[in-house]
Amino acid sequence: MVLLVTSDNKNFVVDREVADRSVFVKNTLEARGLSIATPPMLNGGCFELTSPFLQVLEYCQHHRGEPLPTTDDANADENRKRTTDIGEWDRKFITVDHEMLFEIILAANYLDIKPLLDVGCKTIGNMVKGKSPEEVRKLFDIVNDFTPEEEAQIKKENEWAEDP
Amino acid sequence: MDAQHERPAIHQPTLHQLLQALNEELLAQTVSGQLASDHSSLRSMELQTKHALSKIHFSINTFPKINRLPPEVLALIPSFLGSHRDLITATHVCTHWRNTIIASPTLWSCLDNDAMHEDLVAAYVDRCGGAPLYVTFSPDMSLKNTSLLEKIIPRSSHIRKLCFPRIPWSLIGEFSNAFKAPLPLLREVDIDISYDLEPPPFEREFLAGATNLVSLSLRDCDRQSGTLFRFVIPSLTHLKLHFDDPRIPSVGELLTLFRSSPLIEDLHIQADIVLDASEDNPAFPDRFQSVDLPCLRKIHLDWITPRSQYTLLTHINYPPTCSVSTQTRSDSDLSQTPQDVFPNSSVAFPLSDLSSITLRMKRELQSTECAVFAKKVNGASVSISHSQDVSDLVFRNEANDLVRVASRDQDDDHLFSGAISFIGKLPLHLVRRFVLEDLSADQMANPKAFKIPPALAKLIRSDLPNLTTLSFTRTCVSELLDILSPPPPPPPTYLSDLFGEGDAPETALPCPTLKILEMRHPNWVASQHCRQVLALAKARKYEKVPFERMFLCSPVVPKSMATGMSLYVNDFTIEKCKGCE
Repeated sequence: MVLLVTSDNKNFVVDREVADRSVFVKNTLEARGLSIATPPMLNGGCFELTSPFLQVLEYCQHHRGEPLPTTDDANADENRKRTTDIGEWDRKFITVDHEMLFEIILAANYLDIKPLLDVGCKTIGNMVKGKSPEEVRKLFDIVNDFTPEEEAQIKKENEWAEDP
Repeated sequence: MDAQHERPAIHQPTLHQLLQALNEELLAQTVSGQLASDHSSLRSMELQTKHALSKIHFSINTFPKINRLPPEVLALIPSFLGSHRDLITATHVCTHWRNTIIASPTLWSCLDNDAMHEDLVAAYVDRCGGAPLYVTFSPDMSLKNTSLLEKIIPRSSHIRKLCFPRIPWSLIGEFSNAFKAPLPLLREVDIDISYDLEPPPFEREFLAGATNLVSLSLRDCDRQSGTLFRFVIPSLTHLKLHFDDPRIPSVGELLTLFRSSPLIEDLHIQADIVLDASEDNPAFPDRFQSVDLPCLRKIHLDWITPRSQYTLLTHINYPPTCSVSTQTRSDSDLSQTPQDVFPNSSVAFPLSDLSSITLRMKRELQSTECAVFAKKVNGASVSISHSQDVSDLVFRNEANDLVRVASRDQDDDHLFSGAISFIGKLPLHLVRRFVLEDLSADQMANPKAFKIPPALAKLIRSDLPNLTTLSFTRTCVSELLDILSPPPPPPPTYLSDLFGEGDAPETALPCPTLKILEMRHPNWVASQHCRQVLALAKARKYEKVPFERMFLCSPVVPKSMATGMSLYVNDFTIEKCKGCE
């Protein structure tokens, strides 16, 4: 068993197999020979870790025992990015509001859980697919901040992006 | 002078009028100049305002949660978009997205001239930096991809993968001649040949600069392709060949092809048919020379008849840890061992150390696959699959509807019996695990009358002396559990005639060595089935051959079963797994 302490001092005792889904925790434990891993604050402390961490733990529990992706295989990495399908369980798991989705992604990135990071990014990718820039802006509360020169360039690029 | 010849009076403007007109003209020019000047400065001010507004909006855009993701994470999102159109759209969302995405070379590394505008190709090439390139050349290259070729050739040292979908031979020659520079990063080449034309003479060997090529896939290749690729690719580790009728290779040709690539690890061959004998091709003698492929880890052969598969396997010297799978579509030979089919193939399947057998009967829409998977003690796997393609049993009636002939059920049963017979001929004395998959009653030939074939019952009860694990996956468990049930006791009159009271022989349970029973995603829900499992566990406990472990996954099994089962099985697990959801 491993004790994980979040930045807001909440303790979680989990199986080693579950904790090892995080490459960060795995490496920390292996390097220090400890059974306690303390993730430091993210983004200067503005990131509340407990809430997404519970979600991340649920993900790790569900996927315990599955083979971890190999990091040194470039081809595998390429395939990983191209596959946009999300499994049934993962899809239900990641059906959360935008705020929680981004926090899960941040947590997965920080804890180095590549499959979860991919699920999060694929989910956002699926939201963006087929939408116009204006629709994407509306989706994520972004405003158009392009200069007139950039707008002109974008107009030209729109012509390229059409099918040849 | 009279009035008729009097000249018309000309209006002579007065000096005052002249001055006034001049003044008006001057005023108009001044106002116009002023207006133009004002307009220009207004435009300049508008531009400055827009720039200022852009800066303000840029600052505002630091607040949305998505823009607070680290750049490397934000850059990961477009890699899942898939289409060029969506990638370009993502760069048009805001400055932060645009800068982040354009600064990520790997997002711009997939070039496909069939799906991309010429200017877009240029933008991709500019933005891809030093990232490895994945290039697809369309079959229509002669019309459209000259610019792509021109842009790619200077960057040929960065090409990681080349794809030629549906391409004629002549154009492969053009590419071969164009790529003269070294291709040190090229690891993968995928060619799908569309036309059966004679290859033109090449100036040099195809992709001779690709000294690190590890993966080659040839689709619809023919003998000419065999000739083409008979140059040495010493670095090749993955070879995938696909032959379509009438381009039929022979075993001898394939062996010759493999000889040039001794480092092959993964070999995949799909064909309509492969000639076993080589009488139609004198270049390859009947007595094949064996090929040493000491690195081979995986072989997959897929064509109609197993005979030439066994012949090929016989002549490849692969290590015992190599996994072999064969797929056939012929009705014959399935129930025969490789040795039965080809007497000299004793080395084709070294099957003396099998530790696990899986029998799967999977019915798809157009075919039924019956497969035997075996795992060896050293971890290598052997799989022999037999697909019954029913496409020939589908025809169109007068209304042009597809009609399926309903008589295929007999073929399914035939396949199933053949596979059981095949397993019976394997050396089974070391087998400790036996798995039955997809033997679902509602998918079998006759759901209402699904009977366990006597040969299967005999196989499990008698032919597996060291069986410790029996696993049912997606099967009709209750019927299969009958195999494990004790035989019915003899009639009492018979007992009393032979034995005194209390001297009756104990009823022997089948599979006394069995310790573990697994039932994954079973197709059973009724409570009587739960009672059947319980009764079986109880019987084995009292016969002193108890199950050590029983695993059951199902969303509907009552929890009370776990309580009852704990009396008879040390380790009983009920799990609601993903496959049952």
